[in-house]
Amino acid sequence: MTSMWSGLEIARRSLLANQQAIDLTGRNVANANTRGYSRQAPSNTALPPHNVPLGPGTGQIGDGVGDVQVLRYRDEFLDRQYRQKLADYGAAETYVRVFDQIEQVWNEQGTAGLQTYLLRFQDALKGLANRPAQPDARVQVIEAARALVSRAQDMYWSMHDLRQNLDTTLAFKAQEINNIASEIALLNKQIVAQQAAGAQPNDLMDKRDLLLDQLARSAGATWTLQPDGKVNVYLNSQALVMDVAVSKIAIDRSSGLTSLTWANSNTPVSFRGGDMTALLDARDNALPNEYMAHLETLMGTLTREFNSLHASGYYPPGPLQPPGTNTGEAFFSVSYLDPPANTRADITSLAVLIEPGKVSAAANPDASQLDGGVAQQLANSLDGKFVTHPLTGLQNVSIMQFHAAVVGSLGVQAQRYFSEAAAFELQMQQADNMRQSVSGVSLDEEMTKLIEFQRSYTAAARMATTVDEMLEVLISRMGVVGR
Amino acid sequence: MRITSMMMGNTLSRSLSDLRGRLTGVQTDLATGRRLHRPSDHPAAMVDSLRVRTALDRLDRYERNIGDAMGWLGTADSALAHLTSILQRAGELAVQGANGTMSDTARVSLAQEVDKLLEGAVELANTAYGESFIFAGHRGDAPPFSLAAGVVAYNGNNGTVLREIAPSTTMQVNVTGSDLVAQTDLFTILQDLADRLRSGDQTGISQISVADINTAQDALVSLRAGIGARHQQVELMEQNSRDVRINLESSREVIEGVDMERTIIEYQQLDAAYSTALAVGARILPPSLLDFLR
Repeated sequence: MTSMWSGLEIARRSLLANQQAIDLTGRNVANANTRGYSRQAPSNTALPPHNVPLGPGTGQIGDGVGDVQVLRYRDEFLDRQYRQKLADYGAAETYVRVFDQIEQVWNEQGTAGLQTYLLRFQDALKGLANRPAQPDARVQVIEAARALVSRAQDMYWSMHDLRQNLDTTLAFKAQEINNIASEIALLNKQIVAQQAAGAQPNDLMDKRDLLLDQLARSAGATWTLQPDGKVNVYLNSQALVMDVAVSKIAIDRSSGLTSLTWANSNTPVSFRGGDMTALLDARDNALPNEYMAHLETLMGTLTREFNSLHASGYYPPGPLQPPGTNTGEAFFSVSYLDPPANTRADITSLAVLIEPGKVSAAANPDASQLDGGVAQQLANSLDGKFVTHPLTGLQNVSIMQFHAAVVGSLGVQAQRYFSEAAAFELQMQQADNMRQSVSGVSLDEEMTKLIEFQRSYTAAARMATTVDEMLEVLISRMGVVGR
Repeated sequence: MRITSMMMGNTLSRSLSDLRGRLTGVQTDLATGRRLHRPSDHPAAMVDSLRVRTALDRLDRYERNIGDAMGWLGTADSALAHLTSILQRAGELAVQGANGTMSDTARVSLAQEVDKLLEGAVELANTAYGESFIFAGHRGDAPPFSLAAGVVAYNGNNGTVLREIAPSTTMQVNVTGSDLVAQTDLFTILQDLADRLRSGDQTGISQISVADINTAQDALVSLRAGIGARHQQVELMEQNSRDVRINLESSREVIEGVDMERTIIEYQQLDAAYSTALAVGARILPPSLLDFLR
């Protein structure tokens, strides 16, 4: 037999459990739009039954609801999928921002691009070939050359600035990674402590998951969940957080460009996926080795061929000038980055210093009024097939063709990143939806539960009243027989 | 799959922003009339566009050069035409001078006219186009022919003046002074005629000068024929460049331009999709169980 009190006890437990469940529902509703919040729900278990040793009905009798456990809805597998996509998307999205700017530098549509300046320069030379003695034709050649040089320098400095900005972002993000890593280590510690005290640190875990999301996006971080509830975080298989210890990234900006090394081993930090991968690749490869180098090659080849051809021509000698000393001087003042091959010009120091009178238009030493032989050759040299570019595999193409090839391949590359980013974004959102489907709060669902719990609460209260009435009968009505 | 209200909101805002993005793109295309704004829009078309723009840009230069070439050739041709008529007049004077009945005084006056003809011929040979003397070779800044004591000297050189009139096609637009006197030296012929008229050398006039003048005229005719042929070629190139321009402009339009009908239809489809998404969103999002609980 069980005692009458046990009925009251069952009702009390039920009231408590339902009240807790309603609190939880309230918390879910409150956080329906909180980023990174995982919905929580009570997990009720019946108390273990106790044996009734005597009398009829011997066996086990249940004892109502047990202590309420709070469940946190979270799927580690979906987290992995989402973070993988997030890392891909982070990299692609950074590439999009970088290539958006490189495209603006090389753009020919709308504004006058490099090709326009090349063509103007060529046209000015052809004008000089027609009227070699005209001072205005000479001035036009110089002005067109200066405009071309200054356009190339604008392009160069834009890309240089972009590279510097990427570098600053890199340093900033590395600092952010360090901070997040420290926070995760701290959370690891708190979570383990709470669990040891028997509490369920669901909100701390949500916070940690949000940080892991951020790390996945910025650095392609991966993680493993330890049995004791801590997470270890890795950047391209190198430990960033181990238990409660952080392996810091040392950020050194003393050499101009940021270098990132592991503080404890002094080896370079590498990333797989995430913003950092794209930032590093764009800073160390796409800009200096491709688009800045393309410009250097273009201007290098142009100035080299132009100067050597210009030296073979003659300018009109001055009245007192000894004959034969009027051979062409250097048209462009230029230094090369790769002597003696001289294929890449140092764009920053490129200049046109020659005076209009010394432009060598003539092919013959007397440089008479209509001798524009060299001017025409100079104009044609812009179409000469001089450029051989091992990186792009182009061989013996003209300067204009090389420029068109660069713009074309830039377009293809940018287009690839744009569509990649769009695809990754979609995949990331799908993965996020899957995750939301498990962890997100559905208001309809919460309202339904609220009704359930409220009804249960009412029922439990009724149960208590009923037992109370029973006791009332027992206490005040029994034992008055024959009174 | 559980669908939460946050997911519905996300999906809606994502598709709205996607549609907005595409609408903006189509709007830009329609507003500018161009579909190429940056290399990544259509990389292959971008390269074509660069090529066509280069060709168009150069066409301007070729057309200007063609005009210039026509000026040079036309000037040379009319100078040579005038030289021909001078020779013709000289021929008439030679025939008159060869006549035995003419008095010496009359011959001297003929000789004086020939002197004037010679001066006129030198002036014509010093014809300038723009700031350059066209029969001077490269030395266009100074009159190439000078007449001193009945002797004509050539101070020009053999430089050719070229104009680029089509891709890798150049044309010589000048006739040098050496060309002018290559076959027969018309100045010497005129000077000889004047001398013979003065000295009354009737045999010399009728047997040498008349024949020389004829040869000189023939030489001028063949020079003019050459110029005429070049002029014709330049005219052909002018027509050709007009056709090329039309072709280039139309392919530029195809490469860079917007297909209006298609784009407007696309715009209307997107606009309809956008309005639908907004309307559906407005109907789906607000209701929840809360609306039905009392």
